[in-house]
Amino acid sequence: MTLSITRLLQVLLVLFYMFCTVNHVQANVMRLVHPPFKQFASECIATPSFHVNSVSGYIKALELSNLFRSDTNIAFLPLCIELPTSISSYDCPFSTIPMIKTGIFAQAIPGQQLLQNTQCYNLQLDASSQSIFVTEKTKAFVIGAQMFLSESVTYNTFIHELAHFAFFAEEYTMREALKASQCRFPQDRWSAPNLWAVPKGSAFAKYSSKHPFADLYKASLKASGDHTGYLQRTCSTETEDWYTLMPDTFTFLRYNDITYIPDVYKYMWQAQLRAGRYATH
Amino acid sequence: MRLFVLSVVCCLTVACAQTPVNLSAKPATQQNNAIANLIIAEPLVNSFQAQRAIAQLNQFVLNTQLSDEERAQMHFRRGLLYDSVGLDALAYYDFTQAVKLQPDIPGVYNSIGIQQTLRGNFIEAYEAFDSTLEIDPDYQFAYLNRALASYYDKRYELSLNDINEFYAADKTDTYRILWRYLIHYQIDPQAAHSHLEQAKSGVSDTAWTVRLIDFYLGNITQNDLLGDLLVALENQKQLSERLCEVYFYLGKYYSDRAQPAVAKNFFKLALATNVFDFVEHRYARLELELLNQSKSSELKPTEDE
Repeated sequence: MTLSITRLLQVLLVLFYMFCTVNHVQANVMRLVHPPFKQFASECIATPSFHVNSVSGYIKALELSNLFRSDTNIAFLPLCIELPTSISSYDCPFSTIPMIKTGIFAQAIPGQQLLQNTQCYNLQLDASSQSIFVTEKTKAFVIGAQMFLSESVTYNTFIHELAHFAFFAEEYTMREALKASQCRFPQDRWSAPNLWAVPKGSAFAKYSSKHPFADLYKASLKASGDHTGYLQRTCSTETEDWYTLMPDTFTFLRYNDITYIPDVYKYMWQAQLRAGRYATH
Repeated sequence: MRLFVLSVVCCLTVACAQTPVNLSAKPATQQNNAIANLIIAEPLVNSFQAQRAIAQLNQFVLNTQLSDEERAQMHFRRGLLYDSVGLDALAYYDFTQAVKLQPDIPGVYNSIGIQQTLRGNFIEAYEAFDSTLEIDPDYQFAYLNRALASYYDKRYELSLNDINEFYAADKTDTYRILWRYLIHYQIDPQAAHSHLEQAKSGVSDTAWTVRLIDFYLGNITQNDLLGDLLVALENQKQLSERLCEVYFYLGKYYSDRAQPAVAKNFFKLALATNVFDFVEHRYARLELELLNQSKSSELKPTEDE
């Protein structure tokens, strides 16, 4: 009797895995278990607002917001993009290259230092929302709840940067300056949902993280059997092992020009927003 | 007493007359109801965000000092937004204002050309598409739109030239293949069929749209096609968009095969999806008008009569 119940549970588990999996063409990528999520979100949990300092900047903002609205691949995001109603007078000369490119979170850099790094003047910030500044001279990066985009930026890059507002970390090999902000340990609710750290020597299953997606990671990584392939070497140190979820798959967080957003990332992104885990001023 | 018996008999007679003749018939709720098996799209709600973007753009224009060139761009962009929510007249007004302020934006002429085609003003439509291509010879969609203008103007050879140009730019796109087939069908149905068969090899088997080609080739039935469009659906919006396309191409199928009543119903269903920014939605209205015109010209007595 006990055996048959165990067998039944095994069958149910297999069925559950089959139902909630993402299949990939690439080899060595494990199946990812994730709870269901709404594929089409109509509410506006966050409202990132565009700011422009020229008409050409406005046209860029309009183009990006139009593409965002009609993109069914991103329909799961409960975000509404606000357009500016006037031209602002801010100026971002960027005479020196910003110290960091992307993904620096609000908690990592104090406000004073932040403005110093971006070298922008007259920024009118709305405390309740995220700001997207279209500028002439920069490329694309996020600092806290501020995104800076050049007028030549592509829509795919815009989506990549938007993920940083929900604390997603870069998945490419990071430079030292980026590592300092993205590989912060111990992890808390403001940490990147796509990175997970375990202190060296800790039993994989026993280690309890404060990160809300730790269980999801643990289940997925454990299912892979061998975790070494998932080690995020850039962040890993003498004291901690860091893992990424999809090392063999080129996602939108690995390269700006890739549109692939795995379902598990869609789930995490939506959950981040619903739980209020996103950058604000 | 006799009166009572008579009235009872009368009542029973009436009651019997009202009883269904076929006592074995199932109640209406249990019958195999055709409407229950029909996949009908939930009409898309007009985008709250698009409407908000229009309001914000209006406010931006009011708050900003603009040069003529910049104002032209704003009219053009607002026209596109109006178009995306189905406000054709407002869109057309903005496109014409844009062209007055800056007569060298290729996209504006392309949009004016589409509007003129939908109004049946084909000469004006050709002029607009020619202007688009004169300013920007790489503006691919002008070839599609000029092909459609010539198609509805029944100048099929010209239409085929343009659609071939559009098809050559991307041979994996089902919609280019289907329009090429529809245009070619008017000239030579058999050749159109064999070209469609050849073109199918360029489309990925995993794309659901390949089923539309299969339907036109006679490889699958209408029921198969409607059943398959539910595969790998992610959300209601996607369903409405797919249905808009499928209904339109089913309408075209029956329209080309002299079944106007069926075709009209499919075009009406395509319109009911409210997917305003799809080519199929735009032309479903024109198709309906053309079918209605041909119906009324059939009913109209000829001069000899």
